[in-house]
Amino acid sequence: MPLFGKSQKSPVELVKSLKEAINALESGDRKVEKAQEDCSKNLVSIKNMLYGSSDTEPPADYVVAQLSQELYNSNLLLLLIQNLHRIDFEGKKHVALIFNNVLRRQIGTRSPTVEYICTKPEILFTLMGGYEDAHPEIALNSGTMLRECARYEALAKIMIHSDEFFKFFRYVEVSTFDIASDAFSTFKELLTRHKLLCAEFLDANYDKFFSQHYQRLLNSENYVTRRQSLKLLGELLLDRHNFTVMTRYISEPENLKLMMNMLKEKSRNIQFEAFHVFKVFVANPNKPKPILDILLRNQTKLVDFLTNFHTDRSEDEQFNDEKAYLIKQIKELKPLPEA
Amino acid sequence: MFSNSISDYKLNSTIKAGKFGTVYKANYLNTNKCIVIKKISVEQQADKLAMLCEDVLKFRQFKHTNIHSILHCFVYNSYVYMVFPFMCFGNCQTILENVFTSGFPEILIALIFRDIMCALMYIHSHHFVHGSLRAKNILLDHKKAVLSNFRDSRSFINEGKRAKVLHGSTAGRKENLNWSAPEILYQNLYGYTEKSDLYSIGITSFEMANGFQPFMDSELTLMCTEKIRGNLPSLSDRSSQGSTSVNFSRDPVHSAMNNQRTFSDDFHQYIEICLNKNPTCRWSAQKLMTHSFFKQCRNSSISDQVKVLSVEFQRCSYIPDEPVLAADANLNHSEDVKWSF
Repeated sequence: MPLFGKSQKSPVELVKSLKEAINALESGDRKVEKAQEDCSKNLVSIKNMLYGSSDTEPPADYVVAQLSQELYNSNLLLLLIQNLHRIDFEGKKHVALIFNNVLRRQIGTRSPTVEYICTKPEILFTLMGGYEDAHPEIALNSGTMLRECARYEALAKIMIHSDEFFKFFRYVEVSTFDIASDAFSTFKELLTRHKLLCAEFLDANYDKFFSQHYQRLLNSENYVTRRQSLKLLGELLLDRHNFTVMTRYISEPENLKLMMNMLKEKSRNIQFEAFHVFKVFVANPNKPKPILDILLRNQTKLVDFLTNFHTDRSEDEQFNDEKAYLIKQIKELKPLPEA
Repeated sequence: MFSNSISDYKLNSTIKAGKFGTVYKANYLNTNKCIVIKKISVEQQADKLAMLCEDVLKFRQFKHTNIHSILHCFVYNSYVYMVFPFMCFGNCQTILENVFTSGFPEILIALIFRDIMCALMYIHSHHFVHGSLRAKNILLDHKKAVLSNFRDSRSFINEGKRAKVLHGSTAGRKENLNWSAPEILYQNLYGYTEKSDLYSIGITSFEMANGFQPFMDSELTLMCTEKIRGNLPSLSDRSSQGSTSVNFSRDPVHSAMNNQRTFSDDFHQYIEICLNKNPTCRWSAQKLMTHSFFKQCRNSSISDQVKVLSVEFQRCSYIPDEPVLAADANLNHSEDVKWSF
């Protein structure tokens, strides 16, 4: 041990003193500045232990193992996340770095941290609550941790099936641009990363998800939300895993009406995204009667409209092929023979 | 905290108008604070919109007195409004174009770079590379210089692991390549590190001292081979007279005038260190801070120099406030089609 300068604390000591600092910060009985300073100092040490600082090597496996084990045993991960808003700016980033590193830890094919979080789902729910308006300063840090969690199917499953998940419909709509964008990318990650899990979820919660909540996003006053959710809808419907959900979606006349109205929204980008959902209704070989009726009632108008639709996108071959196909399909529509 | 309603902001004058966005000098009415608002149309292609999100998130990662911070960012109708602190003299490239056309005085360069070096130390200690250092991305006001534009910044930490080097060109934006370090231009397996920012500091020093952008009129391939050979522009002063090194000045009258002045040996040496071809021998930002070039900052500050040069600086104060008409983009309406449901 060197005579002068700081001695290296062991993982056990670091975790212990960080926990004390966090507890002090939470109860607020010691001086807040002192607790915050201790907290930052220990977070930096732990971060450097995991990543190595600019002039030191990344750590040996046993150090990481010992540190992780201490973090699990002390329940510190949850404590850090619960008190994220009390930690200073740089400290918050360090919490996210530590969390993401420990989360990725692997022993063979096992991910011990993932297994640990499965037994402590409050960690996930607290992180999801990070998007609440109460503490906007933690939203982005929570977001980076959540998206790392969403990579693991077991964790994504817990999140998507929780009540907290439906709060995302509110988070993605706030007018603070960076927070809403971040929430949307987490939302999208949860809905698209694990195809089978998502397909099952959407199928089982179709009414709640589409009719009650998603509809509202598509009508949102927030332009960015409206556009992003329309684009995501197109992606969800065209994913083959979501076949049953798509079939259900395109047999509901309300959905067709909404898309037809969005086709003539004033924003050209929204028109364009709506086109990619609208085409699924027309391309469906087994259109239910109500859908067919609407299309027939607007047959000539639709043909005219589509003929003049985004004619300047001449270099987008796929779009032009699809448009020509839709026009042909609509021209050839015939009423069902009376039964 | 700033509000999300545009009616709480008063737009005073237009600083810059572009294709997708306009930059305004503005006041936040609740506190009467003077700010800059960037108004950007979100009616753009999906990838551009995604880039905008990324841009804001990158700004949000840093908090330092010498880093241009984003104060707030919100959506209103089909525009994103980004709120920034107001830096009264604008960026150094504009100052070079309008005021110090043959370069900043050396003392001011030293003071500006000391601030930028602090910002770089902060960025590097958080395992980021800035990636697009140039006079255009350095903003100045009465008190300090700040580093701006993090679009090309990249982190060594990815997916819970820290990489030793980065690969690929930083977004490969052509307009920044003149400032890039040779190891970035190589695009080989050795990759590059945060040291590449120090090379860009060296090139930016030329820019700030000579008053024009290095390699401005040369072909990209020439620029690249010159850097690899180590054939670099020189500071145009007395010592460069009659030198055979390639001088990338565009204007002979200018260079004749510049030949009258002298830059200190420290400055010459400092640039040489920055432009070391070998990134491992190039000094780090922290070490450069101790270089004797910065000695001259001891008894001075940016605010002192601004006072001394007040006549010059008057020329780059912004246009007086004038009422701004809301610039709403014309969108094509197709409300005339009525569907029958």
